[in-house]
Amino acid sequence: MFLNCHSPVEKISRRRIHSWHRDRLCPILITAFIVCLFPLSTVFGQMGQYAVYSDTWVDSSNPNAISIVGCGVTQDNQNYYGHTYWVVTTVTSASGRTATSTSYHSGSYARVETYLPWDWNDPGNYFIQTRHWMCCPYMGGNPYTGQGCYPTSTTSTTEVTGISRAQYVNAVQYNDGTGGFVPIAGCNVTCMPSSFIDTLHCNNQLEYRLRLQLWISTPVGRVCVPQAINLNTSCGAPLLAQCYDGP
Amino acid sequence: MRKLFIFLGLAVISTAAFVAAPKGNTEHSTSSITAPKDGTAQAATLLQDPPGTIDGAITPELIPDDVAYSLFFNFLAGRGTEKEKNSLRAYMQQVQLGDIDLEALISTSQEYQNALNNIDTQQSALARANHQDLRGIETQLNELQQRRLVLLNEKVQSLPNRLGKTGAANIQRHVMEYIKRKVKIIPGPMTPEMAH
Repeated sequence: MFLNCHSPVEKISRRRIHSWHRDRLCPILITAFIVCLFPLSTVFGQMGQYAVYSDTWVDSSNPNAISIVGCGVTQDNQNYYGHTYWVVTTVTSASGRTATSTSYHSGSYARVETYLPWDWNDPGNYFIQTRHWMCCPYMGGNPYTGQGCYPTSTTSTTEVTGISRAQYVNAVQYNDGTGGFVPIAGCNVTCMPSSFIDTLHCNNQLEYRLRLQLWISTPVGRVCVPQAINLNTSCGAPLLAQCYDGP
Repeated sequence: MRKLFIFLGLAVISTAAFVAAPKGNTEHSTSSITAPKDGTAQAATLLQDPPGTIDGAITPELIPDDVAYSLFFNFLAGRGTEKEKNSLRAYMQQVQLGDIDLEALISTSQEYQNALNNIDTQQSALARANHQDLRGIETQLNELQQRRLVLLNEKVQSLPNRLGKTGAANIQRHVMEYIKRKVKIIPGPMTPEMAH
């Protein structure tokens, strides 16, 4: 169409087309340009910003129900646009056990805490991942149906867990049926008391305790989790797995 | 005239491409997550952050103090039951804040959150009533934002009195060195200017 080698018929035809372009098509296209292109190219802007994060800790407040906690948060302190937020946080254990929770919907602060029960047979890295969802009414999002809503970001963190295993032997018996335990020679792990008292169970046999304590790895080193302790009794001979730190 | 058509054609095509393109919310699979040891599926998929995201793990200095403190106070607030407080106590011990007066800290945080909720409610009502022209209420919105900052500063400055100087310093260290490294700031989506 834009080449110069045209037949006379084509030239006449082109002149008519040019005329039609000038009279009809141009105004249509210019209008389309003004209506569509101009606003899109000049009036798009960013609808604020918001903060997201994930965190984790070990909840050992109930020694019989120790949990790895994963926490997900979205916070928008300047939500002028009617955005709705929620978070979905999953905790995955080293062996693949998972727990997932979804927060309430909020326009300013959405948080959820997910609890995965601790398992002494499942130490290692616990992976916490949060999907931060948002609904924007200007983009057709409907927080009630979820239609048009989408996860905008993922935050994640890892709780590195391990167990201190320490072998203790009964050193003294008391009249109330308890006894004092001390570590066997050469036992040295991250989390171990120099001694402890426990009820005695073995009659006339040397009594041992394999003491397990959960620790987590932090930037400042290993932190022993209080109350996350497991005692295993053996009579006559110590249990295997003497003294070592590890997953 | 030809040039005009070419220009208009290109402009319309590029506009269509711009509108159709995803705005930073594309989902991507990543190989950075390893499978669980026992082979069970860990179907974790990381999303690519939108362009312009500030990642505190990389540039903690770009996370504003007020954002980090606000997140921390909100995290502490709303824990009324003994179970919730005990769980929080466990958290505080693990982040080397076990010596902090937890009741005083929760109380401060609750005061912050209550006052913040009032400001948020006012802001929501204002924005809802003027959603067609947010520029017309820019001054009021800025005032509310200023009140938020004043509120936060008041609560932060009250910490030495409530927790002692050492306690307040430990909280500051935690917020600056721990919280900030976990935070990302995500830019909001793009929208026509009528939304501003």
